[in-house]
Amino acid sequence: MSSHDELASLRQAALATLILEQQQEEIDRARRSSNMLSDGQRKKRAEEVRDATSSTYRWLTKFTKTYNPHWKEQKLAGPYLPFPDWPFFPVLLEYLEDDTENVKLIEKSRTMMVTWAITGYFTLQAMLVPEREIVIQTMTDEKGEQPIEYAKHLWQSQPEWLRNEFPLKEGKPVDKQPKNEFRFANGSVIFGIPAGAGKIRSYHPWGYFNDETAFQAEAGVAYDEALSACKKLVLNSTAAAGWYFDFTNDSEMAEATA
Amino acid sequence: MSITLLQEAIKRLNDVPPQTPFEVIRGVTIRRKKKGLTVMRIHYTAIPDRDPETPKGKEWFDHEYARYASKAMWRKEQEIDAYATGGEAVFGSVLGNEQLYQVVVISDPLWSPYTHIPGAGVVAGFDHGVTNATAMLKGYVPRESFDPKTGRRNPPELYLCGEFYRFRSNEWQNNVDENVAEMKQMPDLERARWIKADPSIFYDAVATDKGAPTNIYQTYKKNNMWPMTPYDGVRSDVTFVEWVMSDWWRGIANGRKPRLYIVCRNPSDRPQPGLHPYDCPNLLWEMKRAKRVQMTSRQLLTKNPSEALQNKNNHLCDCFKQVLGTLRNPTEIPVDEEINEALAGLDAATGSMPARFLMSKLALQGKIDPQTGKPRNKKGARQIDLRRAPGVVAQHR
Repeated sequence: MSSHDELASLRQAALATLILEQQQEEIDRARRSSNMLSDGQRKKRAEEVRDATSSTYRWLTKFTKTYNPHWKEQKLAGPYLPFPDWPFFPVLLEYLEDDTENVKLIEKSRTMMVTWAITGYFTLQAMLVPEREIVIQTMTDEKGEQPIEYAKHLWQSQPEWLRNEFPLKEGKPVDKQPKNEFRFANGSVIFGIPAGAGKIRSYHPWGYFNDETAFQAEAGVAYDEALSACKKLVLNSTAAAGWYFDFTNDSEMAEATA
Repeated sequence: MSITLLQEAIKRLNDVPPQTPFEVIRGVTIRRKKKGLTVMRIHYTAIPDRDPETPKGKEWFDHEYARYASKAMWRKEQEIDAYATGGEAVFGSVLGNEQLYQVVVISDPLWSPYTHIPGAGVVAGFDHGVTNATAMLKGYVPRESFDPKTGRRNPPELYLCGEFYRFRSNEWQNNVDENVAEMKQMPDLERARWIKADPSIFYDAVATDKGAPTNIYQTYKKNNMWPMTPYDGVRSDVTFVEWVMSDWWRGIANGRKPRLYIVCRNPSDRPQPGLHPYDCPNLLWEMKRAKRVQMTSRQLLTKNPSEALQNKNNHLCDCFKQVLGTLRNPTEIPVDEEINEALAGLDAATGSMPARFLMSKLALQGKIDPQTGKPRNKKGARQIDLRRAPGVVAQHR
């Protein structure tokens, strides 16, 4: 190998190292975690973060809060409270976290906070895993904004050290983000879209959450469209006559025929 | 490593048939669909403070239950009964109302057409399907009766009591021959006054190896199906719903007696394929799901909201429409039956006068041949065409 070639390869290696260092610096800057803490503190913080995010249930019940507009009538201590310790939450969240099946179908009574729990699951996934794209489909545009609002609230209600650990996209604090979008510094994003066929076609998300499916027109078509693109699908609804409850009950003629 | 309650429940789903729910914890069940996906159901009793078995839950239940406008709405919202309010209000105001449901749906296991409406005539509607369901609906029309106060004839009543419902599946090919063999087990169909079928099965649209095209009805005939005639009544779904709600079930909310009853001792949330000799679970299933066509927001900008029903899972409803649409015309009673009934109980000495009067009346109505006195099988009596009478012709000239 000539000296010229050696020099070129050395320069290439140096450039690669420089790029890697710059990327690491960017990540550290974004996480705001490297510059202030000692090694021991960093190790302890990492342990704490790992513990706080070890399961969705732990994170929801201990490290973030929901809001309840009926807190006064329900004689609660305040509007912002951690998730209630209802016994079905661990079962529901275990069901969501289980990866043996990628489609999760849920039927529920009214006001069970299931939408909050599922949004919590997807929010934590977006925080933990870089470049997670998640789509939440609801009845209307306005309704689509609500789970995004839940996600933003859950993120914001964390202790500061957890917020620092999972920062939002630079220059995009919560109040500056669009109502139907929630972006993280790690590249993850949660979108809210309205009901209907063809609405998911321009996205290629990892996660798909269809809320109140039984009340959505063309929910069956939307589900089929999501099926080919998404890795985790959660359909959740209270009861209403239509495709969803026919589908879950195998009452649909197409289902019965096949 | 210990196994969780959920894992245990999912594991046990492998040993039970599809759609069998398994309770994970109080209020939370999991079941498996036919194709393997699991469904989690979260009932309000999963929250201890809402479980009526706890004092606090009982308080919550009493308070919340009283707030709902109807029991059906409670069932839909809290008991996760999607069809509690009966589809999207097509037949919902009757079938979704528990009291009215009991008025129009006969659930008495001892009810029988032979003891409760003896001598009722039998009518039927038929809908042919290949991948869709093949369906037949049987109805009993009680003999005509008169109001003792006014002397006027009471409007006809109809008891839907028996159905056949089959669609293609792994176990059933839905072929004509096997369907006919099962349909012929339907009691009383051999004496049906008519079986109306979708006119399309009478069109010569089926290609044959040789010669002219044939029709689907010929296949039924070859398999010895009871004779069927094409339905020639109104085909509009909107009119059909109007008939049921505004005519046959008119005023039932105000205590009026319905004229239409559905016999069903075995209602179900999903199709029950097969022959149901004296029950209509699939008809009730279809009626509860009958929905109006849903229009997109773009269509609503340019069109009026549609009142049509969705053309889906409506095979027995089509049969029902054929039965009702044909019954709009007075139900024909076989002449033999009419004569026998009129002559029953007459003695030989005085019987000849009313018998002669009856024969003249029937001859004038074209039901019997005036020469032979035999039934003319709807061919009509001989008529003299006055237009060809020489006198009339001469007058015109």
